[in-house]
Amino acid sequence: MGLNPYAPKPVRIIRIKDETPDTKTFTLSPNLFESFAPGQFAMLTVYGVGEAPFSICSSPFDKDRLQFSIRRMGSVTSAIHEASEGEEIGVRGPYGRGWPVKEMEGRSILLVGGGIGLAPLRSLILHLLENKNNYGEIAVCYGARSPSLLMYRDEFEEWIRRGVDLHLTVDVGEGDWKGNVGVVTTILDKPKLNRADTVVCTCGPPVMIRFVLKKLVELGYSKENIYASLESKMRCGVGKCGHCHFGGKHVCLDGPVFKYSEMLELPRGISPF
Amino acid sequence: MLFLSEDGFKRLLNGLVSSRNVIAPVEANGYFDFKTIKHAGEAFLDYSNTRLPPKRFFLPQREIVFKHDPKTGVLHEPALGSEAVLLGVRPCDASALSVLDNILLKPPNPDPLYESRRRSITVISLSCAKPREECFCNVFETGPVRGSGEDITLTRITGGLLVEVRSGRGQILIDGFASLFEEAGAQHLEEYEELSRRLTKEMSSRIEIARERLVRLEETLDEKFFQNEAQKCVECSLCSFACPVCYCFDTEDYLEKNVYVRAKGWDTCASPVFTRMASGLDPRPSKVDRFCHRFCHKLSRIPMAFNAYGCVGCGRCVSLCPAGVDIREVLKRWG
Repeated sequence: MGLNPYAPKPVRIIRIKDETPDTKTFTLSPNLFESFAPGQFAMLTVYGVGEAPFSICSSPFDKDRLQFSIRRMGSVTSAIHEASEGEEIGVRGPYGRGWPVKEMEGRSILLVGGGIGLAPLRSLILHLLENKNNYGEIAVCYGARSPSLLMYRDEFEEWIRRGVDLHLTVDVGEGDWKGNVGVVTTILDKPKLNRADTVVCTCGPPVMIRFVLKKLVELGYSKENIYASLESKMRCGVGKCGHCHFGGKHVCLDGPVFKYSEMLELPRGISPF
Repeated sequence: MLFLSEDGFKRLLNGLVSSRNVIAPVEANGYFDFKTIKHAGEAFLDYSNTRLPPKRFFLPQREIVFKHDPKTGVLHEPALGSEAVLLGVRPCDASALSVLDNILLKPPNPDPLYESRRRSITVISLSCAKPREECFCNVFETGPVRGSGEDITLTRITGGLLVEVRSGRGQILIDGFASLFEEAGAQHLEEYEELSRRLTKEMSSRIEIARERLVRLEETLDEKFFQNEAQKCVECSLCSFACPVCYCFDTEDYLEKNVYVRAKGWDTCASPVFTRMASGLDPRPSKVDRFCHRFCHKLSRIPMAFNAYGCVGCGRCVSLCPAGVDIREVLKRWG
């Protein structure tokens, strides 16, 4: 028998960081992936409980560790949240088609995230910053429901220092929030970019993606250059279980990153349109 | 093509049963079902078709995917397929295996459990003599005489059987009983051709579909018709579980005797929770969309990807559906 593609390999949780009240970032070691592309995902197993797909949020240049930001939602995510540093969990991957880093070379880049949707974009930001000379301007528009739900807040300063044009917004302000209040589409016009030649990558809740795509086109971004990472239930990650099969496409194989034109072809429900 | 006399067939059966694990249709409780047989006489080869397809010998309803011992860190791989002969499979069900091969053996991640069973089980098909009323294999050319996933095709003709070797695995089995076979004569081939023509014509008079239109299914989707059909569906999943092609699976993790186990088992896109995520988001929340997905996947998406249909016309879903959903009506709508 060849390698069992359904069997995860055990790794250790070496660090758990509270990211927001409902989300933690888990650092796993060792990194068993020879390489991965930003935007790819892995299947994580809590032994005895279950398995689910998660975007890798760490840098592809970090050869020692893998990171995942996980929101407490169902049985697997709750079990991961219950875990302690030092515990063993299972990992397999990397799977899927990530962000189009080759097509982005030499062009300016806009990343649009909502809530935990920043996780796969963080991996991309770290990739871009590592290869800054290969890319043009890098702008990020990021929104969350409230300031306390903004992910990776402690990294923003570093991103800005390294040249990221970062724009933040929250649906509802709280505490000492002095930034923009409103959904992420209200700040999409802030980055000053050559819109016709900018590659846009977005990830967030389906309803956010729908309105972001609409707004981007209104603002003059080219449909040819727009990509989104979509979300689906998965049981295998390798195109066999059927759960992420929509209109002839497997989110696990053909996605999770899809081009604007490909999303138009997807059936209603999974398509953001 | 080879010829096997009635007496030769008896001797082949005896030889197989005494030397191998043989699975064949047997009669039980008024149904036909595939079972391991100990004596050649148990095989009931004059059946129309089995109540359930032989899919479970390749994709068991439930199977262990891995076991992980947290103390030793040892990963126990699942049990692989053991050598067997699956005898008396109808051509439609054998053809379903070649559809599954396309999907489940597709690189770069072939399903190792399916692959090992596919390698270790020799499939011998038996042509239909009397297709049932609900059969429509003629639509997909997956029968009634010759399928596409078998290792050996047997067809009953006067005085014995016509034998067509379809694979290397089939040839190895035949070689082990070489003295029983003789070259088929012209009259044998003529009878075979005549049978094939007659049955296909008979079935075509009941249903005939212009298949090339099926791949355009989604573009020409008649929502109203689908809404009406979907309303009948009670979401019992019988159609998928009785389908020789349906392969979707779910997984289950648990702790057993201090060892972590993952099992996988049949699932179905007809289920209301099939695409529902932990967040409650569901990209396919309506029954009509699930209903459309099932038919479009079989009749349009699989053919676009693999040049084979996801339906082989066995008719089981037609006869088993408690609500009277009939895939032939869907076919007629677009054919």
